[in-house]
Amino acid sequence: MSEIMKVAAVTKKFQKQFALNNVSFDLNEGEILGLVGPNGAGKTTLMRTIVGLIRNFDGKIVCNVDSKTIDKGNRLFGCMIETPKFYPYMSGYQNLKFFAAMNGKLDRKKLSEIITLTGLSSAIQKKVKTYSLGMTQRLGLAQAFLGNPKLLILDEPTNSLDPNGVKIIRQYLVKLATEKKVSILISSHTLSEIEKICNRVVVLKKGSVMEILDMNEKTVEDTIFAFETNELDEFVSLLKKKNIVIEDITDNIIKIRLQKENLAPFIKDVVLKDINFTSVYEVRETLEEKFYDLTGGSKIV
Amino acid sequence: MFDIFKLAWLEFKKIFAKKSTYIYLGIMSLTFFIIIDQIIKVPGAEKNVFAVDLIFRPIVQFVIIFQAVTILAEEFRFGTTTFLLTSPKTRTEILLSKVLANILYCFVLGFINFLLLAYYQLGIGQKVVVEYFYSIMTLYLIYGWFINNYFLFVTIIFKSRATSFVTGLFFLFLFEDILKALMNKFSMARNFISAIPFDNIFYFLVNPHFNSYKVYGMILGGLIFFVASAFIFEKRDV
Repeated sequence: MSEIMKVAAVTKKFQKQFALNNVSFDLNEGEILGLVGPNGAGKTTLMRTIVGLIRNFDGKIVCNVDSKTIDKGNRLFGCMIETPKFYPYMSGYQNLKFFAAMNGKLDRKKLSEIITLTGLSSAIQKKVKTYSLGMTQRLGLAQAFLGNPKLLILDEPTNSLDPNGVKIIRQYLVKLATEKKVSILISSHTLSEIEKICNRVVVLKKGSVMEILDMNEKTVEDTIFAFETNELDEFVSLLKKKNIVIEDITDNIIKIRLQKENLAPFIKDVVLKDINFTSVYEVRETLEEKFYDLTGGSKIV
Repeated sequence: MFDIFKLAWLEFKKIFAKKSTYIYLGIMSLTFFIIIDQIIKVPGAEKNVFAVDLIFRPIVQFVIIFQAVTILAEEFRFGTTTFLLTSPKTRTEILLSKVLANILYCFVLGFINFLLLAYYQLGIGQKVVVEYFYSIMTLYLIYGWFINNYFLFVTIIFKSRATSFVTGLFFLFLFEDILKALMNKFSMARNFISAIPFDNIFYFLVNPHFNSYKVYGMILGGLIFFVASAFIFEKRDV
């Protein structure tokens, strides 16, 4: 995969406080990169800097999209930052037409395709001032998709959308990335959603990158397994004898760290020792758990 | 270059997509007709060539100034700057398109001015009317160019429509005094500025003095304000 965008050591200060502190990462072609972090972590500031709304910053942002591959009427990036705002005195359609014309070429077929996708067909001729928050959000997404962008910057795109809308947009983003090789930078507070669609996730805290998590990475480290048993004492003494690390004991569930290939021999030992257990399952660390670990357990995201 | 005019046309269409534009034009016309109706009742007043200009232009200049402030302040107020400034167009192109759209708007007002003049100045020959048409349009072009660039500059600094409107007007009234103060303080400025009489810009539309110094001064002043606006806007975080 070729690199589409490189963010190198970007630093932005508001008065004396760092909004972004030496932020670096890259975005590859056809990749969906998540951006997560607690409130005030700098996600929106970073996106505003990338799209050029913030001009005074240190560091470099390089977009490697060859201008020859951007046909006339198409644009380098589409974006939706924070809650989208439109001209309230114009209809949704007039607003979209205006922004499409600003891109240079109005493709009516593409426009109606996007309107259908975002579920705005019945409301598109109404004035924007009559729109609900969810509908404005849909219109914001429609605007971002205009002009076949090679790069999409979306700040909490599924905010205020109903579950069906969330699913449609999620599927469309994955389709854009896989089929049309569009690169997407997306931020969201819904970590399960980010986990479902992103290839990698950048975790931000107080303007700094805490870690870049690869969601496709197959870990070679030990896996955590949970055993559900009523004979905890016997189980613990067997673990101690075998020098197996106990991660957690809650009620009658005991979590241990073990390599996958050692699970079967261990179960054999448990059975031979005549220790009863009702279930065993693999415990996968979710993005949410990783997020709490990296950001110091703050549950407010 | 074609893109700029296309962009300006889009901006111009946006002005007329608002109900408030028609309301302002309506109020302006109504005020004009109420005043002229009273004046025409005075014997001998109906054929006064300057009656229309003296009544219509003071009203229209506030409409022009209000529109000059609104075109950018509104983008900040609605929050549409995000989409506007992330389009493939540069910030300078966007500013220029707004100035051009407002100048087009000035032409519309100039055309209304001309129609009123033609309607009320009965007895004027066709040649005189055509001459008036060109002089009115030139007047609105020069005034529109200067006023729009000046208020664009003020709006970029203050962002708010009300603050920009009041502050812009305040400094416009004081323009002559500020320049005089500058002239007294700096000998270089004295030599330079004394060649360009900026005085009475606010009243230019009502009481135009078409001397070349004044016209070039306003064109140059407009250009300076535009360059300054573009410079600040290009550098500014939005």
